[in-house]
Amino acid sequence: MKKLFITLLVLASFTLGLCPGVSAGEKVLKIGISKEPAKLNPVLIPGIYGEALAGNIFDTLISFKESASTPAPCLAKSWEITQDGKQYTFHLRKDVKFHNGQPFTSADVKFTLEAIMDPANASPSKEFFAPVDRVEAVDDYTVTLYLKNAYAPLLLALGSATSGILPKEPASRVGMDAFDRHPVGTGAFMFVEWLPDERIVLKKNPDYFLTTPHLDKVIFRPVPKPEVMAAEIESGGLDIAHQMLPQDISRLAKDDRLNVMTIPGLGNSYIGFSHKKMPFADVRFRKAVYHSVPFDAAIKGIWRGVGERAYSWIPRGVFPEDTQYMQKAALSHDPKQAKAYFDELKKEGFLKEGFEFPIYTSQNPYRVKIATAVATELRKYGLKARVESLEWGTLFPILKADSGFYIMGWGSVPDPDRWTYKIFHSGSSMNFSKYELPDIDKALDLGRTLVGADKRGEQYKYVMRKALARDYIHIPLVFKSVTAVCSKRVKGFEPSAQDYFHLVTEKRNVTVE
Amino acid sequence: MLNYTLRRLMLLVPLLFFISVMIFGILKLTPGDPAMVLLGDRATKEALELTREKFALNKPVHIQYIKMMTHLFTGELKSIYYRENVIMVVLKKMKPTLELGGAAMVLAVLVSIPAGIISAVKRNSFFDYASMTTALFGISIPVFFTGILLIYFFAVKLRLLPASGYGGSMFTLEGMRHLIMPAFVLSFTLMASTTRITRASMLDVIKEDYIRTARAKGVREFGVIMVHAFKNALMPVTTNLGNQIARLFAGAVLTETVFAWPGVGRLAVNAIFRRDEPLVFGCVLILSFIYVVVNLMVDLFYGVINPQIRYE
Repeated sequence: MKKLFITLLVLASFTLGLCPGVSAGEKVLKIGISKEPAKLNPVLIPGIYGEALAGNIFDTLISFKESASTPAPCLAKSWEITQDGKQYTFHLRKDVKFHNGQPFTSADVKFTLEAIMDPANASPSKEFFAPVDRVEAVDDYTVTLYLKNAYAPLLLALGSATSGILPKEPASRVGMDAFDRHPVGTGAFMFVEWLPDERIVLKKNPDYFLTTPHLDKVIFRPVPKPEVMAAEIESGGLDIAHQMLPQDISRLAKDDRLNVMTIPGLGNSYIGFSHKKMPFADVRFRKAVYHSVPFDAAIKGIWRGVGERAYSWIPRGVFPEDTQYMQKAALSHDPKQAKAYFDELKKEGFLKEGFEFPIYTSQNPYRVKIATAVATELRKYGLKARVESLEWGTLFPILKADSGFYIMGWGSVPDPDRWTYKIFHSGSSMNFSKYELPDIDKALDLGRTLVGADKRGEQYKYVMRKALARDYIHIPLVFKSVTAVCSKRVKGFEPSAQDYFHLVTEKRNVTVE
Repeated sequence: MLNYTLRRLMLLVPLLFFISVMIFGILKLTPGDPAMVLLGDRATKEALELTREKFALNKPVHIQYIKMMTHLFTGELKSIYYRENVIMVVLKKMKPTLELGGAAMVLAVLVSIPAGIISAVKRNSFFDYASMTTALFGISIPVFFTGILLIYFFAVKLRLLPASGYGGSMFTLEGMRHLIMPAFVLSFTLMASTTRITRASMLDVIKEDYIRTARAKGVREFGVIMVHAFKNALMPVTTNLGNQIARLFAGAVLTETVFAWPGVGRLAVNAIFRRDEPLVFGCVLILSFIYVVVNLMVDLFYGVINPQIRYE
């Protein structure tokens, strides 16, 4: 009994311990991230994991943090665009300082944008600035971008986390790689340390130009297993957790110490077919697959309330809204029709009885499940599909080389160009279906260069209707919701549709009690 | 013994060379392009080419191998992901792994050797059956299952220990709290095999004539077991523990992933997923070196246990 008491006493004393790097009395927010970002330097950030964090260290000229469709002033207090859409002039704020104390000026903007465009830096964001001819610092607080041609998505590119403004000094001196490990920005939080696979620590920027952040420190902790992420938020090891499994989310929703917040997301999953390889290249095969699987029921069962059925690549409510048309054009579960198409293909010799093929997909658990469901249904029609769930490094080259049948996803900012150009344009590396049609290319190019929402909208509607409601080159499956689970001690946090962590904006200042 | 040690150390050179060729070959046969993984799906062709050039990924395979080896020896081999010297990256991650492995080993030895001895001495007793059944579970249950189970019980339900993460040095309160669960999980398989081997080895020795003689001479039972029997049964146990070092690193890969432990195991796994070829190369070579050195130490330890062993 005495031993048990001593043991409990020791364990209890352990529980009083604090997290590493945390001092008593500090307002510290601990956020669990499913994957560590590859980069924090905006010029080098290759994907969403870096973007999700970088917005707290760096600011952009304009901001989409509060409204995904309307740009708000940020480092630029105002801007003008010429009528032909070829000249953008930004008037910068004069009260902004970098974390190292240097004043923010137009030279920093020019340096950052030129760094993105410089081939030597191999910036993954370079293509978003391809139409920019030159950047001119007119005076210390005015910058003008001259474009080769009108380019509607430019504002979106400038408002993305990958366009966060770097200080010319020290970035130009130390180089992009070294700067990545010791980033300096103008954002609400200053970089403290990055211990790979362990934590990224940021601290309050008391001179932040928007407001003084309430939080003293923010700790981002990579927790790779979703089950462990759920256990961490449940046990109080984290204040905010995301990217969890549906079964964990429904359990956590019953915990009165936690807030579960779900909003519609901007990440989709879809089935893709090759436009070049038979039998996938035959539209009857694609329609047969569409008819053969009860997608509504399968999606409901697999995503279990954390996803909304998709009918297009452009999410509901995002410009140009065309969900009604696309929903009507979607094919329903019709086994008779599916069989008729498959029989036709077999009769014509395009499809052999017992045809074996792989369904390539990532290791995303939802996509693996839907791939298994599709493979199971196709067996009823004599097709032997097998699921090949591969990690990204192996999968990407297979998809690029035309895999035939695949299930993938895409997440983006809410502009139709980002949703479509990379996927449907013949010159794009992400056109895994090899769907290369001149009229689609033309519409996508026009969508970039036309000025005026109506004209642009028509082009994207044309692309979606042709690709998904006539050629059925993809079967859109779902737009996954974004769910963040927060401890009730966190105040003011809201998840973003892109699953970014916006902690201080013009409208919010997250804190912990 | 000095000659023997030196000769074994000399043998390390061809062995590590062979390992390096093997790893490099496997890396090159693995599908995937490091530049594509690094730059993501938005990368332009130009950016990909530039990155391949920067890391010599577009050079012929034998040139890449020579470059990698040269850079490793001159200390210039840099991780593609961390942009830091590979040796430094691995060494930084070595501390958490050694803490985890060391604690697991100590825990395993403290539990499994006494359990094995008692099981052998009290053969077919309740304790024997209980410990052997537990050992069977230890060998059969995968690390991620035990890990999640412990997390659920001790972190979520009892809220006694942190669910995951590294709390700093194991000699601090916070460090120790974070270490308990992963160390126990990692030690579980090690405990299982060591208990079984200790028991089997003790059972062999207990049957020997000299044990009967010791008892006949009136030596107390504790002395018979610990001095006469256990010392002679120690050889296979030591060999097993030495071999388990490799299993410890292999087990650490899973344990570190489940418990978000920032060690070499997780580093190596992430490096493979990120196609960070120099880092995978460095990690495996360093771990192979440790494994070989530990095995040499085990061989030398035989001489300490049994002075009859001579090294020639």
